Amino acid sequence: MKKAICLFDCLIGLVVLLSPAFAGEIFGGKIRGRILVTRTLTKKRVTVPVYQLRGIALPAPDEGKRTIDEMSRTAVYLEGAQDTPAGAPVERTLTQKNKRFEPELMVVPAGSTVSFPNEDPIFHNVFSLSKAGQFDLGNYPEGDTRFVKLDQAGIVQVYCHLHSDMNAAIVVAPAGWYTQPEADGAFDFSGLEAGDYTVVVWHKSAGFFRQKVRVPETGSVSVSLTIPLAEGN
Amino acid sequence: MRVFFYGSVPMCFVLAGGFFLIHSAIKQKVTEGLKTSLSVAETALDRANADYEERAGRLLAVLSENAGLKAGFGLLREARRTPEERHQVRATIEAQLTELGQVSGYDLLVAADTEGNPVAGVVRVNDEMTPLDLELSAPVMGTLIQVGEDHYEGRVLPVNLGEENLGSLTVGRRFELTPWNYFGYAALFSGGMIVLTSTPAAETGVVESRLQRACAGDNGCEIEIGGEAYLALPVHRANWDSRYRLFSLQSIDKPMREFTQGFANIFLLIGVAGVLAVLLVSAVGSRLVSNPITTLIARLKESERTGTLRPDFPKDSPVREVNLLAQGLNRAAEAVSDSQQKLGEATLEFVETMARALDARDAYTAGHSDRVSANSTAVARAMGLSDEDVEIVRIGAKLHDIGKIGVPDAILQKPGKLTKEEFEMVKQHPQIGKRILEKVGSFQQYLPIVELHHEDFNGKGYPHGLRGDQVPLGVRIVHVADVYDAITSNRTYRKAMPESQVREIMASGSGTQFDPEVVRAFLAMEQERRVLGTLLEDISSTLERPLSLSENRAYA
Repeated sequence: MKKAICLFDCLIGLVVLLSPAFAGEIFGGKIRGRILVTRTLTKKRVTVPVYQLRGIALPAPDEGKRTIDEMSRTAVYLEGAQDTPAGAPVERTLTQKNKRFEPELMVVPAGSTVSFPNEDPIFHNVFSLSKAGQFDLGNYPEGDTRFVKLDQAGIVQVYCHLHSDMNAAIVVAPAGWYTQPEADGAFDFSGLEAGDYTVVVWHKSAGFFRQKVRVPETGSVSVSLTIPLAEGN
Repeated sequence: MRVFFYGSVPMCFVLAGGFFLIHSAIKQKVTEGLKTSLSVAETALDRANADYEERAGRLLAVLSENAGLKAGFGLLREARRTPEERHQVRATIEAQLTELGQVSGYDLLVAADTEGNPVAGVVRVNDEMTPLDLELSAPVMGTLIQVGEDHYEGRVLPVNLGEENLGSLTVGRRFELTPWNYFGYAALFSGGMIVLTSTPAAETGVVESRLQRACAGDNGCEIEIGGEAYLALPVHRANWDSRYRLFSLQSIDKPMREFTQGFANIFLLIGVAGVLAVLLVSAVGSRLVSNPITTLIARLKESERTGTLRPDFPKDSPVREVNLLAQGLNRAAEAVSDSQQKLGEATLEFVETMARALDARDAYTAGHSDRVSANSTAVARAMGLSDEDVEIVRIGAKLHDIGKIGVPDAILQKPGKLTKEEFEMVKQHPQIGKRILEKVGSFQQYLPIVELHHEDFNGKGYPHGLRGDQVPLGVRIVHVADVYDAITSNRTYRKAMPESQVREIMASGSGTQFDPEVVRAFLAMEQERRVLGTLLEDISSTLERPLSLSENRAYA
């Protein structure tokens, strides 16, 4: 009996070891990366100037006190040079609360389903014109939820017909490696097979930034992206 | 009339100068007035505009709060697209803009990215919103937006998404010159060239070049359009950049013409009235002055002609100086007439002296001259000679024998008959007398009597043998009187002849020695005298007091 339990443990251990999560740790390469935002990428909100006589504008009410966190508006994923296994589809929720979307940036692998529950006491009408997912969920009241399956990789920008300031972006990553960077811009991917990959950074305002990287068999490779990129990239 | 000329020419210059001064002053006033009215209108418009902008600004912001528009902007920053996809994105935005345009009534709507580059636009064409083909005619953004040939006055609305600015929406209304045409014409300049104007097409090129040359600064300038003077004033529009300049062209001539017309009339009136007044005044003035002077001059000329200067120049003219002049002339005339009188008296005294000189030589000759003078004068008067001629006869007869001074006493007072040679000497006395008197200028008129009183009617007399009419009538009369007296007085060589014989001798000499007319008059006069003498004798005998005819002889 004791010999069977030991073997069983070993088998579990092996299975665990062989699972992708650990596999990467032990077997694959790593990418350690950092995103540096060198300047403000998001244009600040502009108020309508009110001109008095001869073009002298009234002083604007205090806008611009609020700073914009650029890092929270970026997402990063990998595009593989060869066939990369797609990420496992997940189910995520994009809530409408306080006339805002929560969260305002979300990264999911292709094939995932996103639900849009309305937690506001008012109607919302969620829609998107983006090529990666065009939908219009119609008006629905508090408590109601609608679902969208996103099969195509790309950016899905979501708005509300009724509240023009509501927006969110869903980054649908083509492969299984996707994340949002830390506050300091650090990100990493592990368990990668050796090969050429492209690190894709998408910033909500600035758009796409790409950098190629070669992942070794084992060990990690550092990559640093400065956005906006220098000329020539 | 020279006075008139000298008076009116400066006045004309003054009038013309005054007219031009006032004309230019008024022009300046008009120009300033136009500028002021334009600037007032500008300010009013600007104020109204600002007012509207303030109210509209907050409302217009609503236009940009359009989820579909923002979604369209968002599409722009998704993945790089194929041309078809780009076209689709643009169409999506254009659809939103079209809807906004129909609702808001704006003529131009342009969506632009954060850099200001237009990404999509629609424009109203014939009341329909049509998409702008950005490849063909991208709108030139600015305070005045130019799309092709048209201009739109726009305002920019930011398109915000939460805390972020996505880009801008520019809404524009077609820019019309109509409100500015109220003043005259208007012209819109862009970069030095006219892009929109209401001036007639024929004039536009000229207007453009003139404005380019003249109106660089901020003040107005004057240019000429179609023969009329226009004031070109730059219009200040709030929010316009320096690329565009709007000029309002207002006619100066029109208001000027109204002013000038009235003024020209007034000036013309003043000018004509002034000229007339000057004419009148100078006519009256010159008449006042020149008439009396003319009178004086005429009088002087008359005196020159007649040889007498009468002291009766009129001194009653209204001009004091002329009166003084007349007084002076009168005094001169009096002096002259005084001298003339004295001269006349001197002459007479001289004549008398000459006669006395003769008297001193020979008592017979002296009395003889007096008697001949008296008889000749009577006959001359009876024959109707003028008073002047009678006077000449009178004095000439007194002097007729003055030449006898040159004849020696021995011959003159010889008791017996004269020899031939002695007679010849006596026959010289007419010429001697003439020679004595001819140097005296005023005695020229008596010389014929002195020289020719011995000429006979038939030409057998002496010294020249003249006959008939060649001898003046006065001389002929003296000749008759001379012979009469000779035969009626006692001579040294004979006694006086009796009356009947005297008449016979006189009558027989008629036609030969004497002019028959003279003889006839003489004898008639003599007859009268004798009759009168006989009458006087009768009266005196009755009165016992003798009356002598000789006392009354020279009565006629």
